[in-house]
Amino acid sequence: MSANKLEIDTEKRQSRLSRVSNVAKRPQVAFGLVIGIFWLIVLCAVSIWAPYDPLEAVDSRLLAPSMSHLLGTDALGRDVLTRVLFGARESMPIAAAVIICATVIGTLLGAVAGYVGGWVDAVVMRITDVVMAFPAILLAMAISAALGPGLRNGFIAILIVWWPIYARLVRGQVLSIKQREHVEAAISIGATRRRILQKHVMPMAITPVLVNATMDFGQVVLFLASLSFLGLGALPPSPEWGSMITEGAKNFYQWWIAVGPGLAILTVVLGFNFLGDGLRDVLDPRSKGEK
Amino acid sequence: MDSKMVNTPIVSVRDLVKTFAGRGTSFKQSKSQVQAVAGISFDIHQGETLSIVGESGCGKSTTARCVTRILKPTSGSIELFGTEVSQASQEEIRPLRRQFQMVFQDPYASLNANMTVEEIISEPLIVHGFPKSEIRDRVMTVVQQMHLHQSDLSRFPHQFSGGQRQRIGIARAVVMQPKFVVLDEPVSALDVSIQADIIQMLEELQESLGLAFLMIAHDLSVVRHMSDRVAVMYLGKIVEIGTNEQIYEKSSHPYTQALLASAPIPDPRVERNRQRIILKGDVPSPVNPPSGCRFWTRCWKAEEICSQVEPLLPESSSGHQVACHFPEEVNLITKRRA
Amino acid sequence: MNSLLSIKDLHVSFGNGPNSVDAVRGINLDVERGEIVGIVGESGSGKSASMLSVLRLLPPTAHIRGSIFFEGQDLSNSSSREMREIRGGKIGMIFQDPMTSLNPSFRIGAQITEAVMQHSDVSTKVAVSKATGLLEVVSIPRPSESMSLFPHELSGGMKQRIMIAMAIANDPELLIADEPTTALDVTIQAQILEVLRGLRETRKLSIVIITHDLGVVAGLADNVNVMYAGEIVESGNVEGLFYQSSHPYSRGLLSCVPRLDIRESALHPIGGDPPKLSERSPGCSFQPRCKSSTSLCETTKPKLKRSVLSRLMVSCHNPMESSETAKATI
Repeated sequence: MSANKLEIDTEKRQSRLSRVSNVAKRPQVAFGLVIGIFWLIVLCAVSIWAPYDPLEAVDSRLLAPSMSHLLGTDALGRDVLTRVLFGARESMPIAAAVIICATVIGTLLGAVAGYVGGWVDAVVMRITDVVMAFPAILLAMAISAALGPGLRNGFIAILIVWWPIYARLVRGQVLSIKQREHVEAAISIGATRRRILQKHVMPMAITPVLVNATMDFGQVVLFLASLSFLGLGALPPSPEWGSMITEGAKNFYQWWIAVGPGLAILTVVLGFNFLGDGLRDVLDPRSKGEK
Repeated sequence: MDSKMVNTPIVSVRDLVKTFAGRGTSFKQSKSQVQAVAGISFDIHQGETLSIVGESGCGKSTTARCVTRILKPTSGSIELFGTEVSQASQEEIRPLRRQFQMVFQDPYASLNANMTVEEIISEPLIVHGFPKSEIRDRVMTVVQQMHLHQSDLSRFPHQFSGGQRQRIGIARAVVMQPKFVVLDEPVSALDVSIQADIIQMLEELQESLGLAFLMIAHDLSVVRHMSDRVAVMYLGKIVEIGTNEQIYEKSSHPYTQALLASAPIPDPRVERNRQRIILKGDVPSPVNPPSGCRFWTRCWKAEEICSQVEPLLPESSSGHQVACHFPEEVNLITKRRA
Repeated sequence: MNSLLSIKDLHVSFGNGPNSVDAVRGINLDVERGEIVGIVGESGSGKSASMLSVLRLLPPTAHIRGSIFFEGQDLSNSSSREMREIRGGKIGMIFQDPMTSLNPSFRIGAQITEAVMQHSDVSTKVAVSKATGLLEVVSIPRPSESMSLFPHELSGGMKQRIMIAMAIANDPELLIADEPTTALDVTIQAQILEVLRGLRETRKLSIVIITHDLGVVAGLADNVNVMYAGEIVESGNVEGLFYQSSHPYSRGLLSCVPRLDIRESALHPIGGDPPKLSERSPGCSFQPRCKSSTSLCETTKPKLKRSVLSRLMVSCHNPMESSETAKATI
């Protein structure tokens, strides 16, 4: 703002590419990138490179971490590290599916509600009000309890809880962008409502959605793990992180059983949070209030 | 040529009213509404420039947006090229938009930052189904007219200065060769030395395309230079309307006179010896306009009738209309301080 | 130093290395007691940066060089504590956007009272009555009741008047006004300018007014400095500048502005684009847009020299012939 007062345009108009490289150099963002790449590799390659079988007992039970078992073994003699790595396959694809579906549904509903207004807006908003009135975890628990355990039902439960956030976000964006002069200009040249939404509103409304979606990825993984921890969601013997922590809670003094998956969740949540931050700076550096 | 046809206005506004729902809770429904435009009427003829002047809250921008149907009027009639558009749907108005366009105030906000200059200027043509070959030709023509370069077409708005962006906005407005353009404060956001450039360009376009302009402005000097006729608005009403000469040299409404006396003149001897009119108080809120004549709370001539009876714009053969109980013609251009 | 404010060879730049921006490029400016000095320029002229540097209100990325003498003391050597005493004390400042100075959470009476008590050792009661008096000076209606208003209850014109009241609360010697009326309606602008004139009359207040509006300067200022690309290109008495200017930019500005009292058939735009402050040229900054430029203008920077005919200081190799540039006044 003070730059404006001084009539000096110190904003450098960097190309997207140079902005990406600048942002990627920041330690947190670099950390996020490393985490993301690491888990991507794990997702793809774990069945080829895994040290052991995740479902088979391979050694004595409850062994402390050692050279042959970096994270020890669990109550059934399975290698914890292997199970942690395979756990990515349980939670991350589901989390990605939740995010994608929630984003799509939320964006569509939010955009229409925001742009069309009137009773459509009222209906959508009341639905989101109802869903958001419940504490998320309780609602998800209730839904998956009603549907029965299993990752598929966990997916449905979290999706129902998650989409209203995006609907609200997009609606807010659309409402504010709708007022801007370039949209008025589009109306005055005779653009159809559809064209205005597509070309003049949505490209700008989408940015915070992408940022939020990236940051939320970790949150959804955590959410899924929470459901599994409570006995809903993933079923044994699948190596889902949440259910692994449940086991770890039962064997409290064998700390490695819970710490393994706990660390995994931690890295995912933190890493994607930082990645989302970085993405925001690349897409819209001014949104953070920087010059 | 049939003289009657020439005199038919291309834009005809009658009793235009635009009300916005007020904000906040209020038990009295009617009180929470804001009448931004409270019943105004005017005509615009081919090739002429009518300017609407007034200060913030007078409703001039709302008027512009109603005329171009970005907003839907609450009541009243708007006739564009003989077609009544005040309550028509956007689909019905669309074909008519080839004939009328708008230039916006903010050169930064009125262009889509994600579109290239070429996309921005050709969008009206695309929307109205012009053939591809014609699109290219028209874009090139208008680029030359606005003193832009062909290399500018592939660039994005943020790579241009304010004055250049405004030229892009004007290019977009005239690429379909409309007959009527609404200019919403076209130069207020620009540096003084660039303003003259843009004004000159608009005048050239008016000449070559035979355009009629409705200009919304608060700078009385720019209006003096560009307008054939001027309407002065205050709190949603037109208080005085007439030709350029009638308004500037024979103003009769106290508010018009206050505006003229307050607008600075870049000439020390003139400026320091002018008749000053300092109004008391601030512009009342449009939510609760004063009773009777809306200007009475700040008017030095106000008498009892002013707060009770609203003065109307009378018919006039000369075209000079004043809504005042005590109009008095004064030439403020020449009047010196007593 | 006899002048109240005397700026010598002031340079202000932002940033480092190749990306640095030279906002102010060596200006000299004097303000006498009771004088109103106008600084006229467009965006990028450096007019705001120059006066913000007087009160050290620039961001930390700014590099300031030169001397700023106020009442004989060089402000560029003053400590932060001394500057705090001067701001709002001996030198007041008002800005374009009144909201920057007003805290929306506190009543205006409290804010003005605070301003008074910051710089003088008086009791709250005395400060409050002084604050009420100030509201009257700036023509706020019903001062004692208005003391309890919140900023959001005020219009733009009233907020600006409160700003002025706070700026003069401690009887400063100098008031710096940075585009004080640019965001205001023209009838409100007239009220504010009237307040400023009154302050000069009654308190012998010196005012530096920064603006792009030539009309405002014509009505208010005694002396005018025209700035372009960080330099003063012409300066002197207000009548001299408007009627006998010889710098092509000043002349250009005067002839491209439409007038209320004279309806011209055509304006005379200057042409070209505003200067980019990130670029430095060896010659005159105005040269790319100047119709009287010669090869000398491209290679050598002109210096401010007093014109014999107009008595103005002009920085130009080929000043235009001094003639009556004002249009016929009736």
